[in-house]
Amino acid sequence: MRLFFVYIVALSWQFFVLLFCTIVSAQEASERSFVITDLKLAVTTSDSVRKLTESVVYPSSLDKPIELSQGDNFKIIFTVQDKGTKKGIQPHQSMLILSSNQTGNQIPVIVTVRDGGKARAELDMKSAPEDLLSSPGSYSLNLIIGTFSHNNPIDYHIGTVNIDVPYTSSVPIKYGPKPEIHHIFKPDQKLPSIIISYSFVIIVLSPWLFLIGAWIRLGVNVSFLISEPRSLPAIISFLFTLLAIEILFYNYWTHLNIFQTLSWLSGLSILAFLLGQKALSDVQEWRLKGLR
Amino acid sequence: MRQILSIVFFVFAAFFFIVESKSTTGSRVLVLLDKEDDKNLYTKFFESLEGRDYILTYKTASDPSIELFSYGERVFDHFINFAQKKDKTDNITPTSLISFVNNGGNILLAISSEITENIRIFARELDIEFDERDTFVIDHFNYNISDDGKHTLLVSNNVVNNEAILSKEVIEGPPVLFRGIGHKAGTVPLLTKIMRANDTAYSYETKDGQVVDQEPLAIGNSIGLISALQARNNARVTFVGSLEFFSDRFFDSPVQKFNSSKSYPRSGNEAFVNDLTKWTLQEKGVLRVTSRSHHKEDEYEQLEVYRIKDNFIYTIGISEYVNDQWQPFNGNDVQLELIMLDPYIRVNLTALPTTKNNHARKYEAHLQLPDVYGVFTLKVNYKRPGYTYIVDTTTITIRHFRHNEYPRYISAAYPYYTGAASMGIGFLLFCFIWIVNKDAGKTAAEKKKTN
Amino acid sequence: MVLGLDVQNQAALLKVVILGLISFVAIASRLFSIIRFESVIHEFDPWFNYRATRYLVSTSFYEFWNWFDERSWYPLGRVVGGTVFPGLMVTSATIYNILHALNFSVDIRNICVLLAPTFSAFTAISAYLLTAEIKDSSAGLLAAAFIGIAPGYISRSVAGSYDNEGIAIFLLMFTFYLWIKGLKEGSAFYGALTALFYFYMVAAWGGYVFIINLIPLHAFVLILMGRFSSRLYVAYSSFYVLGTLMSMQIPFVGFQPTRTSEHMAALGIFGILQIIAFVELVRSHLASNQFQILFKSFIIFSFVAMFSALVLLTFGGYIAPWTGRFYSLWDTGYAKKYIPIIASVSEHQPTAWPSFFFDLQMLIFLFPAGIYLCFRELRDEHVFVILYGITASYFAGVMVRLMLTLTPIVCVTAAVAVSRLLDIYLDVDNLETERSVDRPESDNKDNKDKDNKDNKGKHKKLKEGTSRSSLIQSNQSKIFGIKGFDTRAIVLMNFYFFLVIFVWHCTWVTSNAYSSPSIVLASRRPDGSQFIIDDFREAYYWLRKNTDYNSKVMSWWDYGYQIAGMADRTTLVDNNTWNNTHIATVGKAMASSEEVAYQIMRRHDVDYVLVIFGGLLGYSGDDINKFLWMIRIAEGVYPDEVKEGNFFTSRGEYRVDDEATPTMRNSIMYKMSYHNYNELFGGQGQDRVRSARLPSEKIKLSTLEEAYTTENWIVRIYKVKELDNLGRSLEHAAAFNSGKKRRRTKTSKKKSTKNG
Repeated sequence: MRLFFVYIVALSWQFFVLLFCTIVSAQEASERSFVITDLKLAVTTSDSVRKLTESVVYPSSLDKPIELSQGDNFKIIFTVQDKGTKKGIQPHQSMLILSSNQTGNQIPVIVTVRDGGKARAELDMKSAPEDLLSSPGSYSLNLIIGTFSHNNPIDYHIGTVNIDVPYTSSVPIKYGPKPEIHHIFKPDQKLPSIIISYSFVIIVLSPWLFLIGAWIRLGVNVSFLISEPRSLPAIISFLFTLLAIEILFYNYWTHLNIFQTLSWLSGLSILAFLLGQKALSDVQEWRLKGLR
Repeated sequence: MRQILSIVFFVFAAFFFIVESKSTTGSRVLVLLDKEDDKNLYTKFFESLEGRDYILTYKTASDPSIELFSYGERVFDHFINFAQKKDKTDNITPTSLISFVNNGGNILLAISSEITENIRIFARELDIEFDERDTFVIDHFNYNISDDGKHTLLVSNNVVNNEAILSKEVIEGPPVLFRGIGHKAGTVPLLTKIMRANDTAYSYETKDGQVVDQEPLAIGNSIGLISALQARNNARVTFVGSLEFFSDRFFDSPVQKFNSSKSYPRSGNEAFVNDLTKWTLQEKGVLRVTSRSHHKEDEYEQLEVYRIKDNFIYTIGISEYVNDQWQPFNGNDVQLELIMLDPYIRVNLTALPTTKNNHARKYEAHLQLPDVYGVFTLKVNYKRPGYTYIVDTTTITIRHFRHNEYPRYISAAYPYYTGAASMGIGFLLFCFIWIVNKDAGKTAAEKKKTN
Repeated sequence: MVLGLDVQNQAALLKVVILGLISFVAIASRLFSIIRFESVIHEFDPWFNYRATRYLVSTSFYEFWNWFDERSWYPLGRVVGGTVFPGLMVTSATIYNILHALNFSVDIRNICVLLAPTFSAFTAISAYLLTAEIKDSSAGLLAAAFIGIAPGYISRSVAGSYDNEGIAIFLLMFTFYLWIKGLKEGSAFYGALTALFYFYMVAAWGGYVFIINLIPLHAFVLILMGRFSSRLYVAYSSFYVLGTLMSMQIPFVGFQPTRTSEHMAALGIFGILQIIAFVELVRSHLASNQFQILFKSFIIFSFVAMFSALVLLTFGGYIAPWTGRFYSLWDTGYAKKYIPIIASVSEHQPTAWPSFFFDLQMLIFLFPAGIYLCFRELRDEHVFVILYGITASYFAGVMVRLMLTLTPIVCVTAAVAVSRLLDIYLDVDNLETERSVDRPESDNKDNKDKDNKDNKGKHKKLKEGTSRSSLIQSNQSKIFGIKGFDTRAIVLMNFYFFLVIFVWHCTWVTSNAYSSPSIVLASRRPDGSQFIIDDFREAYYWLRKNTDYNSKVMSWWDYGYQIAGMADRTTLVDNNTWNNTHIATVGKAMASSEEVAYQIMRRHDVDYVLVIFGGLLGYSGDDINKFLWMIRIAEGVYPDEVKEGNFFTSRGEYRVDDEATPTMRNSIMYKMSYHNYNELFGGQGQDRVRSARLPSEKIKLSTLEEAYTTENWIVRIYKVKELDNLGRSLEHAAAFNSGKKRRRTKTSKKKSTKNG
């Protein structure tokens, strides 16, 4: 019977202890947080040369950026412990986040945490995410640790990482204003100087000197005009039709079109033909008379 | 019977109420719920929609009569989906949703962690990848104090700073509460991430005794909480990863971030949802071209054929739908492109001042047409996130100089003009002299020889 | 006395009647195509000419002159006014306007269709005139009859073949007639008329270059033969100066007469003529031994000076060197190497020997005989005929289409030969009478000529030449005279038989080979009844009726004019191959995969793509057979993106079946040609042109969708899809529509719950 009593007491004690523990732990839950110890970083190149080994004390950050180039292997190990119990724990979220300082992109690296709180993460540049390999630049390296039972998660800035890979990214299309474009006009055709033009005008006009000189030497006269007044109207009007045709050509150059010109020209040429025949037969008559 | 009644109601709605709706594209809304009673969880939301003259038709997801199309015609203008259960209905398939969008219908999808496969496939076509069933967006840093220990009741104000979608009050107002599934949005320019998770968030299951040993679908700010796609035909599809986001409970809930002293008596959800539905159902961020014209600088007639190097004026009028009416648009980055294979000219259009009675703002550009002939396209390609797209093209022909449009007198050609004139005068003079000259010195016989 | 006319008038009347009948036959034999099919414009280029004529008729001359066609060569457009020979269109429009002024409301299409036959009648008349100048009017009548029905000319001038050549051959012959006339008479009037018709020729056809080189060549040879005369000087100078000035009024020619090598010979001869004329003037004032030295040194100096000036100007860039088309006249392999776009045209290929016989039948054998007879007489005009004959036969050997320029001279020389033969054999009088009939006529003519001109020493040689040749002639006829009636009868019967066979051959060739409009194909059913294949028009009318007016249609350039003419839709490239890059871009699109082609098509705002596919019917002129040219032309401009080698199998074969290369199978040309073709056969399709069995897998098109396929599958039209509404790639969207669900972008993650 006594044994039975003891048994009951022991049970109930255990029960109370358990109950107490539960209450305590529940109370503590609102205050529980983590601590990170023994944080070590290492960078190994592709030919297994250790480029960098550092150990950092939480919560301080590395001063120098970590350089990662193609083929490098980046490792980080640490221990995560409950701050109160100093026991290793396994948080729900334990990630290294690389967030680009240029674009704000975030790339996670999962940290594996074992039972004892030993955590280990690795970033192999040979098999790194595409996002990382296509956009080089400086990234900030943060360690985030959080879990449901602990309400003081850690967002620990470890340092900065410079990713040195060839730039291969294609910029995605984004809607927005584009730079202005202005058309470059072909330069106007260069004209030779006006002086050349005028000097050629003079050259073109120079034969007039010879013509007039020759005429004067040969003794040009208008004697038929005086001696044969009868044929004067025909000659003058013939010459005027010729002049009219030339004026028509000038007008064609300035404003008439080919059809207007041709219709005018057909009229004028008939007139010129008739008057010309009259005038020239008069001339023939003079010749036949031996006047010429 | 009820179906028939509701169809009759639609017809009525279509004929009599469509004009009064606040939306620019119509007022017929289909709301899909898991069960009829769920309506009561979102009374405030639905009341606000009805208050904006929408005609809501509630259907349960199991209702076999749901049809988005009837005889090839779209019978609803908007579709709001709150249903989460595995769909028994075959009418709301990814294909029908896509053709609904392609026919200009707007869709608002509220999704929870019980996301159905149809929605997932539809979202995938829009370049949005939702996380697995039963995952939540977890953030150990930003959760509301009323959280149930899973750190999934997020407090967020990481919203897009775009006043075409969200008003300034919402952007700067109290944070909103969100609990649900996360997604990853692609790089399609048609997509807008309206609300994103904070940098420390991640998307995962919330089972006890579990650690994250697989890389989550998305972490940090690449987790989309609310994203929207505006299709090329301007139809809008909005994905909200949280069904509770619309609930009365969240609307009225106070907000206080854990480990933060700042608290708000009411969450920003109601105002946010108000803006979000306004945008999705085409009540804001809607632009239209009211007029366009082009002419030569010193003329007023619109031509189809211009000449190279003409001075040219292009005008376009744009109005924006604001507060239920068309008003002059206030953007100042409208550009005009003159394209033949490649853009030859791209200029910013000058916004002209408007008077009070104007419903549209005129934008104007003065330019000199290029010295290249061909068929050119005048294109105003105004695509800005949040606004409906304006792609307004006009083709003009730029022709070469006509044969009589070249200068008649060029300085370099003076010798030629002189030559022609000299020849003409010389000919006349020669004729005259030849006729009237009497060659005194020679005999008739000698003359004959020379002639 | 018949009809109260004397013998001379009877002969004149007979000639008129015969010429009238020849004209009628010339027109009638070209009407096969109208009777067989309908009054429709043929082939490719005529469609552009027809369209341009319609534009000219519906607007005004100056609108046409300045026409900027924005509906071809999209988006570049084409300055039609400046790149076209307007003679043909202006001719038809003038006829149209005259007829309408007389209240004959004839449709412009019928004028265009019947223009070439009408002008072939004129050609016959001008051949008569030319040959009459060379021999006599009976030879002229024969020449007219020959050219009226010679297939070499009919091939380009059947009703509906509304092309430049249709009027150009008439102009060529008439210009040459006027030149001979002008040269004979030394008349500035005829020289000016030559220039005027030369201008018309320039306005009508690019072949005018033949005239502007042949006439100077003639003048040059005459000078070398020591036959310079004031007649030559007057005729050539008036022709050259006026002709050149007038030809420069055609915008397409512009300043070419002063700036390109093709025209330099004419300018050079003009200069030489001036120098020689000047020298002659000087000679008449100087002693002869002084003169000889002066003359020689002057000639050498001026030749060297002119030639070096020409070389310098060419290198200085003031004179354009010969264009590619002309190089290909000297080196037939040139075009294939450097300008595939020229080589790709079948009518630019060297002529096959049988085609000479096919096109000219017995005339080709009589041609050397006629040339020989010309050598016998060797007056100035005979020199011309010889030169024409030699140059034209060379060119005809180089390029099929230049057979056209050879035909007239072959007809003329053959007529001379036949007429000479008939003169000898048909003359039933004895030799004495024959001579007295034959000789005085030509002597009279010569004498008349000489009377007209002042008879100076330089004519002596010529006179001697003619008299010597006539002496030989009379001697020969004395020795070789044919007296026996039977001998004559055998030869005459023989030739009668040849002439009948010639007519029969010409009619047969015209009817069978040259009267197909090529837009409508005819074949025979097994039972012998006619089977009309009208797929082209079916497709073009589908486009016309079912697509937006401003749609842009992409096709290979062969079909550009037809699409513009029949479908009235904007095209990217057409038969006016002025922009090689643009054509190469289209070739590149056709030869590329869907993604690349889609980019190109979007950039060019293409709405529809049209391909010609003959696999079902066995129509061998389809796009897959032309595909290699598209690839070659594209490779010429985009050597990095298109490679001909990728379209050949490892054994160097061009295949479309299972062994077709991946590049070939991915090209949109291949896909568009064979899309859904297997389904037609319910298994593997059979290509009847290349007699190949197609690969069995289904051809998928995501950026294009089939819009229309004609009855016999010859024309297939595809619509270019818009960008996807939801921003997906079109390939993706097409896959989704065909029921394929997209898989997750990342590999699905496995969730493992760890025991805690």
